[in-house]
Amino acid sequence: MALALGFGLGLVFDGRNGGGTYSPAVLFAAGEQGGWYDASDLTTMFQDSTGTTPVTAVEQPVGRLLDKSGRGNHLIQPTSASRPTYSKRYNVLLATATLSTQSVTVAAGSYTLSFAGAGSITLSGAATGTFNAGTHTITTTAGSLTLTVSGAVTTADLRRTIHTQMGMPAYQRVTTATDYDEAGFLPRLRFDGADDSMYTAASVNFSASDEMTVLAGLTKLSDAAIGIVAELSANFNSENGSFYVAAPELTGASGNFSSNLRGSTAPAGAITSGTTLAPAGRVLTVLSEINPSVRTMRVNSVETALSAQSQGTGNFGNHVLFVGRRNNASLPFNGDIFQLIVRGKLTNGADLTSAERFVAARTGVTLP
Amino acid sequence: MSTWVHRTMIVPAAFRSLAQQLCAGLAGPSGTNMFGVDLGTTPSGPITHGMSAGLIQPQFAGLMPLDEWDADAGAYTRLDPGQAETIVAGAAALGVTLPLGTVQALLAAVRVADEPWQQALAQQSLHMVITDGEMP
Repeated sequence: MALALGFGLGLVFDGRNGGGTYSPAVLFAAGEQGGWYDASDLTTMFQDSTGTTPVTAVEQPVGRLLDKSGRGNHLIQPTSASRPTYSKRYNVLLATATLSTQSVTVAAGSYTLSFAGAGSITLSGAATGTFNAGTHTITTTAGSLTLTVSGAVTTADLRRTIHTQMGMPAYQRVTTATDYDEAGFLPRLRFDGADDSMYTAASVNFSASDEMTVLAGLTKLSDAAIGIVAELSANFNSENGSFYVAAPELTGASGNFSSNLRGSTAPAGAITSGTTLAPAGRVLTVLSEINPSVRTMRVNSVETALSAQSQGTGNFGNHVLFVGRRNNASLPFNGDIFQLIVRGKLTNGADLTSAERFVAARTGVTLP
Repeated sequence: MSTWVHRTMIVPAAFRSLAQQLCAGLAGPSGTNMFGVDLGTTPSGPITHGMSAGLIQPQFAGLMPLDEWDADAGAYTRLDPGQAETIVAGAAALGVTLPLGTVQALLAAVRVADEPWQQALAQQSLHMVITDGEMP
């Protein structure tokens, strides 16, 4: 932890390792418009959209997520089935202490299987092979994976390989879908890529500024379809003073992150990251100014795109902020959100460094 | 509301509006905007089905059928037919008269299972439909 400027000056710790006393709340200390949504803070979550029933345990839906910026721009989702899920589960197996034969649904990609004991596991369906105790990387197709257990197999763990790279314990006990080890496992909001999303209960008035910072700690789990992480307005194509951040925008072989905005004119091209295939955990930062037009994208604190293409004039608008889908209806994001900060002002220097490190530490990302 | 159940629910387009109205009427705000995900036999459409997937209240799930994929048979097995009479009575309490046969036909047509939506789509040879107007 480094001290930004010193004690006794009313300043806050820089928190460069993501710990310490740094809080993104300082980004809003001067009254900046926006929202800070923190999946690591259980006290900000409610199962219903009216805020009556708090989230008290993992695997509960989140119907209301409080804004920690102080601006009161809380996110809601009235529709039960469209609420994201608060989760710390990464091991997809059940009854893992002593494993028995079972089938699980997996996505296409790389998984890591680890277990102890004298027995073996034979995979069939989405992957094949027979494995003894140890740690194994397997490649799966999308579908049902059957693990046939022979002999004693204990402390079994099967998770996406990306989830082995986030600094979490190598074994997660899972007894049932709602009873599992939580200590050391990063909390996040799981968006299912079908119909999960949230939005601010009222419009957020960004009209005092033409600057915007969007900072997201997320894991993108699929490149099969375009996913909206956040969008200001129902559709940025037709609403002046709006923006979106997508993960991905280009599907298939690219899977890139992207962002675009509209000032007073039809949008120019999006700014995009390089190829970033799912699954991918990243700290994604988008810094935008309408006039003069400057748009920057940073991935894991490294600049990946810069554009000065004109987006017209004017400020950002007074629009609803949508998270997870466009207009609560289409382009669903398939992945996890650990942190989301939307701020109606550019963020740079030590503020940006501190905020990115804060988000990275809660997303399981190591910044350079 | 501490216990929830997961369901992936797919309804043919012909019953979509009825299903949406029933969900909103019987479940209130938490049942609005159900079945809003457009599905088709190709990603470009046409739209043949609507879908919802996620956690719902157990009492709401209890009204609906429950199916389970039988991998050996390559087909769904219906474990629970749903509560057509209760739905009709619930609608009546809201001032809506629904023929029992209509609700029975809806429940017969809808596919409801505790499975990931990706698995449900694969098993029913369906895709999410994205129209050009939705593209960023």
